[in-house]
This record gives sequence, structure tokens and C-alpha cells, in this order.
Amino acid sequence: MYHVLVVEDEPLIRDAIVEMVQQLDGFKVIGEASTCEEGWRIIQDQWPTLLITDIQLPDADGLELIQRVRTHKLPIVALILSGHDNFPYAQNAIRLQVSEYLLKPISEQELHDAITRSLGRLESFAASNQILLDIQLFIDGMPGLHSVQLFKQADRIIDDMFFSLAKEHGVRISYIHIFLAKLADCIKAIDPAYPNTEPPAEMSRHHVRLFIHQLLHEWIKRYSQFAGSNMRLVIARACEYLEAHLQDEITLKEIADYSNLSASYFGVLFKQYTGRSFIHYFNQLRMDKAMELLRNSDMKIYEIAEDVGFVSLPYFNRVFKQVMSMTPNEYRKGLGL
Amino acid sequence: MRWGQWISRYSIKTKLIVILLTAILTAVALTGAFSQYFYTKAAKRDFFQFAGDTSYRLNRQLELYFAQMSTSVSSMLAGPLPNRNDITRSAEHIGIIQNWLVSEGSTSLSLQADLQDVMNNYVALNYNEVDSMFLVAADGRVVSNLQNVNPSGNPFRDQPWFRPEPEEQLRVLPTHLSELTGKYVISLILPIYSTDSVRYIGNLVINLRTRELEKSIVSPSLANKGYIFIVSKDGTIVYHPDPGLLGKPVSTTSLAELDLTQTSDVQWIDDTEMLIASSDSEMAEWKLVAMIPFEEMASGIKVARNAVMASVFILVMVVIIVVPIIAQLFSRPLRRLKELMEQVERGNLDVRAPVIPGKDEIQLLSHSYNRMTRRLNELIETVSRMKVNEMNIVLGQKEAMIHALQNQINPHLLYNTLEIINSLAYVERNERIQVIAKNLGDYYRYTASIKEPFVSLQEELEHARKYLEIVNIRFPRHFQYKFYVHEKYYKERIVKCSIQPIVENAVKYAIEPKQGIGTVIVSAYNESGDLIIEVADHGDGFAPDRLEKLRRRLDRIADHTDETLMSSPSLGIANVHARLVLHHGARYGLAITSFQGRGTVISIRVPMQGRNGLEE
Repeated sequence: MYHVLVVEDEPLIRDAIVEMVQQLDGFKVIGEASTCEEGWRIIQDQWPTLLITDIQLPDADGLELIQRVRTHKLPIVALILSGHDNFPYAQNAIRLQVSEYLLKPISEQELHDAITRSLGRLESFAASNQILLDIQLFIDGMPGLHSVQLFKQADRIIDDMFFSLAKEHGVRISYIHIFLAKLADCIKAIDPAYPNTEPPAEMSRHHVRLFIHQLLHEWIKRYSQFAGSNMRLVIARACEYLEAHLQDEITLKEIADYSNLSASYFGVLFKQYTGRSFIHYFNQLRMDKAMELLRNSDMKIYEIAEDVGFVSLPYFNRVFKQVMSMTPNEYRKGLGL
Repeated sequence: MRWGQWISRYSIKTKLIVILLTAILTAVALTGAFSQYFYTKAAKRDFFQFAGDTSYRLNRQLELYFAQMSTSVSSMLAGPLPNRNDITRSAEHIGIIQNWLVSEGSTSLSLQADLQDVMNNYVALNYNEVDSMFLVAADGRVVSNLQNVNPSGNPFRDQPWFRPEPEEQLRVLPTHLSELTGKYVISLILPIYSTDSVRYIGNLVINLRTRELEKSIVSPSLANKGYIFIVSKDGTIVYHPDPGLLGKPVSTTSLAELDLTQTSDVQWIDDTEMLIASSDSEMAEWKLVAMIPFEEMASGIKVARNAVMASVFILVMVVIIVVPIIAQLFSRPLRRLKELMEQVERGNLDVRAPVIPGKDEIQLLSHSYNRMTRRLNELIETVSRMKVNEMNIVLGQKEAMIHALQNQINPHLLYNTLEIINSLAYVERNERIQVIAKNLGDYYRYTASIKEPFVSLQEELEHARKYLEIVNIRFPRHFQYKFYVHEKYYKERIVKCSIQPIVENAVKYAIEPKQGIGTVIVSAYNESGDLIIEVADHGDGFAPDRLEKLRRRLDRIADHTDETLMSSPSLGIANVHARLVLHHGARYGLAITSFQGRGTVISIRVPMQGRNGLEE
């Protein structure tokens, strides 16, 4: 199963693209973003292997997003969907190893053909992607593990990076950096005073391992104090805010601003506090509300979707299905209403 | 001006012949006239000198003759005197004449015979020209040397010479007919004086036969036809080569017209120009006249004239034969030049006249001509280049206009909106809207990008197909479109937006008016290296006048002479044709075949790959 991120600022178009991707076996849309920043955040959180992006985005260029992906040597197949066929775009797209450059309006067939053509590259990226997924899984699971398990799992990821999955030196270095940065973020989320750490000068397995162990010690040391810290309050307030603004389109950036934190710290912090990513958490809230409405009102489904902040019905349906594994309609019918 | 016009009516050959002949004839005429004049003058002078000499000589001859005659008879008249050496002469004859002359009374027959003998012996036998001799005594007695003509009477009294008066000296009577002998004679009258008293005692008359005289003295002719005649003071012809005229008065003959008062003159007798020279004989008081036809004298002129005529004839022949050849030499390069100019007239500007360097005017003309055609060619090229440029500008402006219009449509908005429509249609499962949105987007994007003037046939056909798909959604029931284009042509290059406007035109004029009932067929084939793409419809076809108008317009565009290109608002047939002509040359472009009521076929002709229409 390949994970797909769709970045497109126009919800109606995004819906169609997501729908088209979903029609294809073996592909799953794990994220939707309308801005470059949002997309980048999802990439660093969800580690998709296929990125479908528009070029013209409200905050930045879709090409810039791909640029970042390439800078970090992330194993992502990029696919551009644009209304423009001008040459500089195409030139940059080639430089950024974009697999396909599709022109709007796009037909399902065209998109499927383009994705099918990229299958080879997707396969070759699968292994590298797995490491990133493992790292993410490890980071997300850190609060629930006790120290012995933490060191053991960290060692396994390091061994994977060095011996099996990330064979290329540059890629390995990049992944180590990602791993280290994620760990550092976890520490900083609890203790903003924690100084920026310099990665080891020598990137041997031994040194990396020592360094990671050190970071884990730091984290374990601080995490025990975290439960009583005021950071929890900050997150709790944010959660309240979200519950009160279900019908609004709230991004991580907005809620981070609300909490007077940087978006990345907020994201990590939020995850450590709630155990879920912000989007998952927020969508869950919305779906809870939507279910309630489905159960207790005779509002039309699209009205409910609007009420819980979904501009398009298909998106709502999609998210609902993601969370509940059934469509809103089925859910309502299942209740015998 | 009139002369100039007149002269230019004739060919160089004619003019040359006329000019040369005129020159030759003028030269000949002048030569003839001058030579005639000078030659005549010289001939006359020669003649007069010659005639003068001749007559002078003749005069002298006659005078000498007469003197000799008088001398030879003087001894006889003196007695005759005894001659010591003469044995034959009988003594009795001595003094017989003197005696007879001084004696009186009748003469005896014997004396007469003696006197005859004396006269015969002393004179007549010595000079055979002597016709007769007469002794005329002072008293009128006459004795002749002739036999039987000495009658006692005086039968001689009527004779012109019978004049017993004393003569001072020798006298010559002009020619007259001697009745006694029947011959024309000149009479010589010699006075006889007595040997004793020196008294005049009588005359001796010697009649000389003119005919005989001429043999010994006068050469009768001058040259061939000229002659000398003698006229006496009283106008009697003394001598003339024609015996019939002897002794006649001049006034009764054909010579009457002659004016003999001049010593030398040119006169006309019987329509013949005669040169006449006369001189006076002092002794006989005659006039010697030398006369010769001028022609005879001036026979040299005739020779000269013949020579001139011969040379004229030869020159004329030469002119007639040679001038056409020379004219040919002159006119051949000119004619060649004329042919070249006619070729230029027919539009072939690449012809060049062969030029041999030099100062020959025709070569210079050829050179100038070459320069002119070269310059002309350059000018035409410049003009056509300017026209092509102008057309390029017009088309460029049009493209810029379309581009500007397209820029007014925010492309992001357009394509995004179309994509939104597409997405909505996708989500709502409305395929027709998807097709329209998708094709419309592609259609605009294709037309909007004008960077690349050439595209592959496949791309261009795809563009036309997208347009037709939209049309097909508009008229789903009856409209059909078909592409019969072999894949092998897909890679051929073609001017962008050259097929779709034709297809659009077919839809506009054949499909839409019939509410979509109809078919548009696009096909392609290879015709001797050119790719022909045909767009056929089953519409009503063009009305003949409209078809004619359209065809004329396409021709004008091919000539770069169309002015209306800018004014037409759409990328229509004319625009496509103009761009094809610009890119590939006048041989390429559109051709329209229309059958009224049955349909229209517009064929697009472009060069196949590997050959470019424009000959650079």
C-alpha cells in the first residue's frame, strides 16, 4: 500500500484528485493539504511515498515543497498537477526529479496512467520509506515505552539504517539527522530551554548509537517531570479551543499561534500529550460531533459536513470513512434511522 | 521627331543598306562629276592643241606644196629653159611657152601638141594629182594639156580659173567640178611673166584633183571618227572626207550650223557634241577645220565611267551581300537581348546575357541589361521580402492580439475553474461535463502557447479531435467525426493551429446550420512528397460566387497582395493559408473543392519531412 499526499488549495479539485487516487488499488491518501507548509508537516509526520501537488499554492510554490523533499533526500515520488505549462516550471520539475507533470483539467485516466508509470520508482523507495515510518512509529510510541524497550528499539532502527535499509551514505546521514532532530524536538517540546545539540562529527554506527542513547536519557529524564508541567495546560487549552471551533478550518499553524508556540514544537508536544497527530485529533473531534448530529438530528449529511467544518461533502465522507470505516450514510442507516 | 519616328520604323539592316548605298553612290557620283569635268577640260585642251598643231602642219604642208608646185613649173614657164642633163628633151621646145604667150593669133595644131607635150612632160607626168593644166595667155587664148580639148574658140571662158587678168602671185581656187574631166579639182593659178621684159604675159592653171591630193598631203581623218575639212574664204568646201560635199557651199550642207568664226569651240551637229578647231591658211585664205565627236576624244571618260560603274556594281553587290551579314552580327546579340527581355517580361528574372568584356556598345548594353535585371531582381526580392515581412507583422500582430486576449483571461483562474468544473463533474459522475472541461482546457492551452511554430501532425490532430469532442457533446445524436490518418504521418511537422481552424470552419458552416446533422472527416495522404490533409464535410457546400471569392482571396494571399488579412477577426481559412504560404512558399497552403448541396473538401498541402518548401 502506497501512501499518498495530495497538496491542492482548491478543495473541490482536491476532492476529485483524492477520489481518483482512491480508485486505484494499492494507493491510499493519507493526507490532504492546501498549503506548502501544511504539506511539509504532513510529510514529516506521515511519510507518504507519493506526493501529488499543485504548483500555485497560497503560501509557496509546490515546487518548493518538492525542493525540501529532495534536500532531505526523502524517498518520495513527486507528481505535479498544474494549470500552467510554462517552461521554467517544467525545467524546475525535471531538476527536482518530478515523475509526471500533469495539466489541468485532468481526467481520471490520465492520473491513473501517470501513477502507474511511476510504480517502479515507488517500489524502489519502499524500503527507505519503511525506515522513516519506523522512526516515526518509534517517536510516536516513546511515551508508552519504558526505557529498556526504548533503547532496544532505537538500536534496531540504527542497525536497520546501517545494515539493511538505507544503504546509501548520504541518505543514511539524512535519516540519522531526521531521527536526531525528532528526538531533539521531543526533548525541546518538554524543555524549551534545552540547547541545540550538535550531531556527532563522526557518523559511525557506534557514535550515532551513543549520541541517540544520550538523547534518549535526556528525554527520559525530562519526560517524568512533564506530567506536571504547564505544557499540559497549554495543550489542554488548545484542545478546548478546537472543540469550540469545529466548524472552522483550523490549521496546525493557527492553533500553534493560539498557543504561542511554534508549529513544529506544538505538533510534537500535541502528539506527546494526546498520543495523536493534530489532524487526526481534530478530525476525530469533528467526526464525534458529526456522529452525534447524525444520530440526534435529521440534518442532511452535507449540512452536517458544513457544520463540522468540511467545505466539501466528499472530503467529509472520506474523513468519516477513515475514522469510522463506513460512510456517514451507512452510519445513519445502521442506526435504523 | 517625325524623322526619328520614321527612321525607327526600319530595321538596322535596311538602314545600313540605305546608308551604305547612299554613301557609295554619292562618292561615285561626285567622282564621276569631277572626273567628267576635269577630264573634259583636259580632253578639250589636248584636242585644241592637237587640232591646232594638225591644222598648222597641214597649212604648212599645203603652202609648201603650193610653193613646190610653183617652183617646179617655173623653169617650164621660163621657156622652157634648156636642160643640159636632159637628153630626151628636144631642143625645139625651148622657149616655146614664152613664145606662145607673147605671140599673137591662132595657134597651130602642132604648136598646140608641142605645148601639150611640154606641159605633160614638165608637170603632169611628175605629179599624178594634176588633173589638167591650162595656159592662159593675156589675150585670152588657152592651151590645155588635155588631148582634143584645145578648140580654137574659147570653150574655157566659163571656167572659174579663166581670168586672163594678171595675178600678183600664186592664187588657189577652191574646189570646183572640172567639166572637162569630171573631177573635183583645186585650181592653182600661177602668173607668168615674160623672161625678156618681165611683163605679165599670162597664167598657168593647174587643176589638182582633190582626191589625189588628199592621198599625198591631207591625212583625211583624226582618230576614228574625227576629220579635217577645208573651207574657202567664200564658204565653199574645199576639202571634206565625204566626196559628195566637195565644191559645195557650206551653207547648203549639214555643216551650215557650224560657227567657224571661233578658233576652238564645242558645237552640236546632228545631236552629236563635236569638238571643233579651225585655223586660217594665209596663202590660200582657207580655213582648216578639225572636227571630232567629243565622245571620241573623251573615250577615256567612258573608260573611267565604265570603271566607276563596275566598281559601283561590285560595291552594291558587296553591300547587299555583306550588310545583312554585318547587320546579323550587330542584331544577333540585340535579338538575343530582346529574347532575354521577353523572358524577363514573362517573369524569369534569372536570365543573364553573355558579356564579352570590351568597348563594344552591344556588350556594354548587355552588361547594363544584366545589371538592370540583377537590380530588378533585387528590387523584386526586396519588395516581396517586405511583403512577406509585412504579412509576418500582420500575422504577428494577430497572434499578439490573441495572446493579449488570452492574457486577459487569468490562466490560473481559467484552468483552475475548468479543473473545478472537471472535479465537480468527476465527483458527481458527469462524464460529459468532464469531457467538455478537459477538452476546453487543453484547447485553450494549446492555442495559448505560441512559442513553437511547428508541431507534430499527431499533436495538431489531437487538438482538432478535442475540439470535435466538444462539438460531439453538443450534437450527440447525429454528429460524427472521423480521422483517417495513417500513423506513419504522425511525426510529420506542421504549422501549429493549421488543421483545427479548418475543422472549426467546417463545423461552423456545415454542421451548426443543420443542427449537428453531418460528418467531418479528416484524412491524410502523400502526394509526390507533399503531405495532403483533407478536411471534408457533408454540408451544403459553398455557393459558386462565394467559393470564387474565397479562392481569389487565397491566391492574393499567396502573392502577398492581400490587404484584408488584418481586418478578419478569426484564425480562419485565410489566416491558416497565409501562415502556410509564409512558412513553406506559394506552392503550399489551402485548396478548396466544393460541391454545392453535397459538401466541401479543404485540403492542406504541406511539405513532408526532409524537404522544405522554401527554396533558400
